[in-house]
Formats: sequence, C-alpha cells, structure tokens
Amino acid sequence: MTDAFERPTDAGADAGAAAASSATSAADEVFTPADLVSAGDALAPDLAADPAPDRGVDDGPDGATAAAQSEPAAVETAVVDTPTINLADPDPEAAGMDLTPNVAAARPVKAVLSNSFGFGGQNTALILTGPGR
Amino acid sequence: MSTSWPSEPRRVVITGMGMLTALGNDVASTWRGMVSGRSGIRTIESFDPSRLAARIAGEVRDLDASHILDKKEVRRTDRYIQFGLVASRQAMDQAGLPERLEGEEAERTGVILGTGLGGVGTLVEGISINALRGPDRISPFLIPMGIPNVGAGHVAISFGMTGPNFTTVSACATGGHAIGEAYETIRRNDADMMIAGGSEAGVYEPLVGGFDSMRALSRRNDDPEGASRPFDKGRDGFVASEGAGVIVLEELGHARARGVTILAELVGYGATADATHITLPAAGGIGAVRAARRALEKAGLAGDEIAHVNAHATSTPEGDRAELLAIRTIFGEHAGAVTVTANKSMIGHTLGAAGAIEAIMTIQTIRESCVPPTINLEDPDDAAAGLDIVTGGARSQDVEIALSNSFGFGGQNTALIFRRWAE
Repeated sequence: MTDAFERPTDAGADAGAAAASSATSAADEVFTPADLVSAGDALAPDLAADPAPDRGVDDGPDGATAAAQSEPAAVETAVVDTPTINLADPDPEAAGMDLTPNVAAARPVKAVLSNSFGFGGQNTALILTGPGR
Repeated sequence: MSTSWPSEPRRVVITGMGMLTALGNDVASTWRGMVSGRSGIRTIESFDPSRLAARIAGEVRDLDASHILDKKEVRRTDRYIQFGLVASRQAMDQAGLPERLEGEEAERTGVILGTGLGGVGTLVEGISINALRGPDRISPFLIPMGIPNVGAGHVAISFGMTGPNFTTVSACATGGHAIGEAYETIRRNDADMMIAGGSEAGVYEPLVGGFDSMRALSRRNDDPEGASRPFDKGRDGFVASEGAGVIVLEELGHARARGVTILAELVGYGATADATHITLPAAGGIGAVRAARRALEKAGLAGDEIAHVNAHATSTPEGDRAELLAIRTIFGEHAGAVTVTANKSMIGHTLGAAGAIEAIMTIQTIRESCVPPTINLEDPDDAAAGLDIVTGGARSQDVEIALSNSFGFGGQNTALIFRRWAE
C-alpha cells in the first residue's frame, strides 16, 4: 500500500449490493510509454461503454518483475483502488480514462482485469471476481 | 469456430518434428547416428577448455540460421534462440505449414519453447564486459538476447503465430513440460496447433565449470565418446551438451482437415515434484513414478500396455539408479518386458532441450519399430538386473505405446506417453 491509501468507510460492506457494473484494471506500467499505450488501446474497445478506472499498482512498490506480476491479483478484489503515483501529466492516450491519479479511491467492483505483457511480445489477461460469483 | 471449454479433452497428434544435436542438424541425421550407436561427444571445440576439469561436450556444429535471420538479426539473437528457430522451422516444414501463419490459423497457434538456462552465452559476455569495462559498455541487446522467454517470442515473430506464447524453465525437465503444457493447451481448446519443445546453448566455460563444481559432470576427458554411460557402473556424471528439439502438436480434427501426415498421438502427460532435494532424486524415484502414473491415468492405459521407455538417464550415479527403481515400481511384474534406452549416451545432456529431443526419438522408435541402443553400457548397475536395457546395437521392436521420462534439478519430473497413429 502507498502512503496515499485511504480506507473506505462503508464501501466494503456494501460491495456486493453496490456492484452494479463497475470494473477496474491494472495496466502493467513497468516497461515503456509504448507499452502503456498498448494497454490503453487494449482496454478501450471492451470497456469504453463503462469507463473504467485504469491504474497501475507496479509503481508504488518496486514494480520490476515477479512482484509486479503477483500484486495486482492480490489487491484488486478489494474495493479500493490503490493510486498511480507520480502521475502529474497524463499521456494524451489516457484522455477519458480514470487512472486513479495519486490518491486511492474507493468504489464497488464487479470484476477486475489484470494485464501482464512481456518482452518478446507475450501477453496475459486475468479476470477476477469477488467471492460468491 | 467454437473456442469454448470442450465437453471432453480434445485429442492431440504430432505432425512435425525438428532437431539440432551433436549428431546432426535435423531429425534424420540424429536418428541415423543414434541407430548406428555413434557418439557425438568430443573435446570442447567452441572455446579453449584447458582450464576446466571436465573438457568434453556434445556441441552443435555448423549452425546455419541464414534462411530465417539476416546477418544483423543473427548478431542480435543468442545461440539458443537460433537453435529454437531452426528446429521450429524444420518441424513446421514437415507439418506442411507456410512460411508465415496468417489470420485465424495464426491466432489459434501458439508457442512454448523451453530453455533451462536461456541466453547464457550473451549473459556471460555481458557480465564480463560489465566487470572489465563498466556498465556504460553493456550492450542494449544483453537483456533481449539473454532472457529465457525471448526464444518463444522470436518463433512467433518469425513465423506469425499469435496464440499462447511462453517458456518453460525446469532444468532437465524443461522440454517435457513444454510439450506437456502445449498438449494441455490444445486439449482445453486454447489453441488448435502448438509449436513446442526445448532449446539449449550452455556450453560456456562458467556453465560447464558450474556443473563440474557440483561434481555433476563426467571427467572422462581422454575418452569423450565413452564418457556418457547411463546405467553403467563406471558412470561418473553427465556430459554437458547443447541442441534443440521442437514438435508441432495439433488437434486431431485440425490435422485431418489439413490432410497432413500424423506422426504419432500424444496420449498422456504427468508432472510432479519430488519436494525432497535440489539435485538428488527422491528415494526410489517416487516422483518419477507419480508422474508416469498420472500420464497413464490421463491416457487411460495400464502400465503393461507400455512397450518401451525412453529414459531420462543422464549418466549420474544417483539419478540413473533412481530411474531404474522407478521403472520397476511403475511397471511391477511387467518391468522386464519393457525395453529401456538412454539417448544421452550418444548426445550427452542437452538440459532444457533433452525432454523434447527424447520425445522425438520416442516417436521415431514408434514409427520405425526400432530402439536405438544405450552405448557404453558394459557393466550394468545392480539396479538394472532383470530390466531390458537395449545395448550392443539398435533393436527391432514393434512399439505401439512408449513412455518418455524427464527429470530436472529442483525435483521436477515429467512423463509423456506417445501412441502409434493408426486411422
């Protein structure tokens, strides 16, 4: 968790009932600006109708390799989006996206997409939902 | 085309095979060498081995990737990547696949190219440059040439497939895992074709020295051809080797629709861990036993339906003995009726490529009704008593179903079961 973490008030208790259609994703930001553009492009077609908060958790801790792969899945079932810190001047490709800049946000979550992309052109996508679904 | 979870696992056949070994730079030449009982082990030629205690290896000679990579690309790809590309192209050619896959065919085809060590030649050079000249002299290609997953990426870049793509890394079981996981990918309908196997280029002084310092290598430097001697009482370790083996796996209906020759069916895959020791096998080879039993279960076969075992058998004292005990446990009273052979007696231990090379040799045994010999087996280990290890020359045998074992440092085990294809 980052210093900017803010604990939700009642969002956790109401998560099930309030989980209407919101979705969030963790764009893997450990590589290059070009990779981030690719992540945004991949999200746009499916989620444009329901603008999703798009944030990377890799830049809070030391987001390098193995740890960067495991952390998104560990935290995204919560109803708190950890922030993308150091996001002072968003890339133009991020226009219209909620990257959860700098401060954590609480919101109900129905399902979460976790992206990972590797040198060599290897891509994975994991979709997580909360318990009981 | 439906891409949903199938109601039952889909059948997987082999339609192409490619290979580079110390015996030859394709399947046919390697097979001829093995059937004739020829060793490819020599004194190391690619560098001066005089500082090493173990100075022998099974090296690939006359590598030529110019039909896939231009001169600049050759400089920018590690040797293990070039091995993987050449072997993949051979397998794709046999499977009748085009120069580059396109459209839905590309999307439904993936790659799992394993490697035990990755681009260690590149890493060794880069680390040396860093130490001698400083980090500002490190090549920008150190990482993209050195990391182990990029071989699989290069196969896709060169040949177009855009399905699942990754690398297995499980030391000497790498090739078995790559083929087994490719089989599962097709069975569960995540792909119709998979290019899968292993590639290894680790014959460099620090790597050979590292294995030797573990006392894992044979030091029979004055007799390279006699150094790899699986199951022989005189064995003193494995011979470090390089090479690649790659196969095309294909869903049965897809292969039939293409009208391609089916080489064999892969009917079972098991993977286990010893969970006991980083280098020594579990007592009685029980991890290997459980892998074989899982593969038999998936195949719906009983042990006495297996006619032949292509052994992992690296020529280490502990490993070979454990495998012999495992074979006894897997097959029980049937153990003496199963022929056993050890390809590493002729090509040494290709580490991450070994499982794939031996899978191909297993398929060749089924197709050619011929078991290559285990050479250098003059005084069998006591644990071999009553088992039928093929020595003294290749043997004709009608083999319908065969098991290929692979075991890796770390206690990682795989078993693959191949069956003769008959319409």
